[in-house]
Amino acid sequence: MKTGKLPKEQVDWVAKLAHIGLTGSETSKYAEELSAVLGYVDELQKVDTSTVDETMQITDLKNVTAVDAIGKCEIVREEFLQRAPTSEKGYIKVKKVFDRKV
Amino acid sequence: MNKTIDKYEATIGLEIHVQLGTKSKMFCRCDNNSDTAKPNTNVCPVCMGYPGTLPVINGQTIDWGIKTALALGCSINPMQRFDRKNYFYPDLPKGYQISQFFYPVGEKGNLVVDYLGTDRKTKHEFTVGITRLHLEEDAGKLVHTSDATLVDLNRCGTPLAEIVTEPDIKSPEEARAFMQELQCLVRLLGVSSADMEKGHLRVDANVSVRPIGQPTLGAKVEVKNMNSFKFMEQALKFEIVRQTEMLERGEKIEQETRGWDEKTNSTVSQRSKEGSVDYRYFPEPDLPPITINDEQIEKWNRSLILPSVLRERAEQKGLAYDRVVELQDKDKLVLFLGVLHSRGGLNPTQVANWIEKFNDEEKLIEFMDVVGKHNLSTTAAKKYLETGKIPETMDDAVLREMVGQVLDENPEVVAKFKAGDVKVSAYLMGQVIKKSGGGAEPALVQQILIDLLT
Repeated sequence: MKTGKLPKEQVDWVAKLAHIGLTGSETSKYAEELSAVLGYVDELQKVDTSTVDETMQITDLKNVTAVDAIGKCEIVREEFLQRAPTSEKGYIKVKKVFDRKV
Repeated sequence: MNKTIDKYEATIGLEIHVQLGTKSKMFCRCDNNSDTAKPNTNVCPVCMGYPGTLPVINGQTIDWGIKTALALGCSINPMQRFDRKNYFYPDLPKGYQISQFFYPVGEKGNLVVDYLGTDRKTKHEFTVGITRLHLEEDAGKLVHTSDATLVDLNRCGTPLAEIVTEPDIKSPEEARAFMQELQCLVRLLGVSSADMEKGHLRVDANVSVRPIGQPTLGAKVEVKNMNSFKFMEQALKFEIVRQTEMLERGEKIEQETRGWDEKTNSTVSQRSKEGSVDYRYFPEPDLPPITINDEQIEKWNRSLILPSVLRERAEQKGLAYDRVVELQDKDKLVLFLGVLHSRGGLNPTQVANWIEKFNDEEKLIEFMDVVGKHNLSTTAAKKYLETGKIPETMDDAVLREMVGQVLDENPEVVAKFKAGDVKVSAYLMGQVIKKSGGGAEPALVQQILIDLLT
């Protein structure tokens, strides 16, 4: 990737995918910050990888599977629900996803 | 209207999710059966997407995915790998679904489907191309209340096989036949209970209509929320008529998503997602790849039992196609073939007539043997089935006397017969058999009746 400032449209697009509403000034701010992060990762481009095979993982493991059996979970529902922002009747409660009444 | 419809043709492609019936979930060891579980009781840090947790593939899901893909005639990818499909929604706590995008389990298959026509006699046959079968984890369930959305993550991480077909299906009847065949197939393979009402088998359809002769397909409408075979057929019928009428009026069909509404018996436009979706797929770094070799594939291929093969075998045994389908629908086809395999010389139609009363091969064979040996009538055989005792067969003289008694008791019926109403002999025959306690042989009774009456 070419180093340089991320276009505003890209920041808006990423924000939209993440369901984050940004104001105009926030968009400019994140354009700067995200560009800096990407620029930092861009350092990797300096490494000569011409002799290295492409891979999707670094462990070199393969064929790792578990037997199909039920295992006990050490955490119970009440603990999970306590960790959630709010809960109701055993459900995790979040802001409603539909604007209109359903 | 029929004339109008004759000018157009429908094209249907299906996207199906089959919930695999493993004991544990796909990437953690939580109980996979949450049909009756309370919300958020079959969850753990892995399926709840807690940071720092790592998934481990349930080996059974790979086996079953490959078996199903082979049964659908797909070629299997020698490397099984997973990818992350990223999206933000409360049903997906990790922020991504583990799926297979770049390398599905299998691709480019096809399924030949035969089914019984509405006349319950004719055998129809068609072929549907299978684009791909891939494995993925299910998301959680959302309940919408007036002021909030409630999240149950029990289903999060449940293994699904997604099957995508080519647009080879031409009618709602064919779509239904395909789904029933698929249901039968995954049940026979033992990979899913495939119960549509419980959501273990889900289907979305892409439907388009075009004037016959037009080379390109019409605009594609996705139809969702079809929770039973009946609703699917109704929804597709409705959608084809809707699109045909629009084309007739010269209107343009929008590419959109519509949901079946069982209250209004119609498909209703669902608000489409704004803008195009962008799932930013990338390989799942937490799951090492799985390699599949030819010997394994060969082994799986040899162990496959397909419903079409069972039906063919049953037909070869001499059972009529409509009876074969009937036995399949009653889940008796395997038992039927087992019985005919273990005991030669049985009449396939007679076995089919009695099979509903049995679940056990040995008991059915024993029963058929007794019926055959004592030449029992249907009534006598029923009696034997109920009491476990073989009804005494009447000898000729006893039977003759019994027929005489029945004639004496029913003078009006006898008079009717003599006046030419020969149909009433059936009533008399029924009376004799009843009197005999089921022991009388119908053919013999008939003969004696005719003897005495004429």
